Amino acid sequence: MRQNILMRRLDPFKEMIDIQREMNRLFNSSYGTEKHGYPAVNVWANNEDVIIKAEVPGLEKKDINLHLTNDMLTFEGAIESAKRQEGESIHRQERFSGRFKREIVLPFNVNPDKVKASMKNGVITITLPRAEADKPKQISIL
Amino acid sequence: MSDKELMKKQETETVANAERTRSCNCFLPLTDISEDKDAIYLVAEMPGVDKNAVDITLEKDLLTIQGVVNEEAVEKHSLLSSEFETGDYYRAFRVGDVIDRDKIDAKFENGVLYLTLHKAAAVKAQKINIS
Repeated sequence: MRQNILMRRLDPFKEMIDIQREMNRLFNSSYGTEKHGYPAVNVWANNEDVIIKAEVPGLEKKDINLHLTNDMLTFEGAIESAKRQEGESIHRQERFSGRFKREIVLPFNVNPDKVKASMKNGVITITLPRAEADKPKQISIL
Repeated sequence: MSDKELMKKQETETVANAERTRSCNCFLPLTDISEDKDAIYLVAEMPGVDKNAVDITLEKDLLTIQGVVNEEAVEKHSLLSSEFETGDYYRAFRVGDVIDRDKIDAKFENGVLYLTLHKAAAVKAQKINIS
């Protein structure tokens, strides 16, 4: 316990950044209506791999580009807004349209050759196995 | 990060006249509605819903769309970040009597429901010539 206290170094900048982050979080989320970029993603991980799911309703495989560079996964593409005919009026427009680019930083380096991505009912699922060199190693005490 | 920001999915507040018997989240599908002289077009997003799990009903002038998700949970992994939740979709629209009840086209593709509600012949605007 005592040791923990000693090891925590005072860092005024870190404190300030923490406060700033808290404030941003407070102002960005107005009572539960949090905002996010497009597409919305969920990220799961364990020691072996990362699983990413993204909601891209209405998109087809060809509409979306996935890139992987080291530990960064990028979603890029465009959703064309529906073509309107002459005399057509819009009553409600809630769906997203336009170009999007989203970068996700992965928790570790992955093996790019073993990445699997699938798409079903407007949800993309990507499984990225951890690079062998990046896996934690058990060290035995001699 | 994208500069375009979207609202998190909104949960539906009331589920019409019936209580739900499934204990999971229920969301409002994001919907675009447009209209021309022949029909009303409705496009609703229900990511994660299978084509066979979509239910569309028209009762009196209330059009209801429902989608039930059947997503496999991710096991043996911890969730690091979450921007969307998985759940069913439900939304009701009042369509009035302008539409032809027997002529509703529905298509479901990649988690999006496309509905075309053709207008009844009687309510299509008719041009009257002055003789």
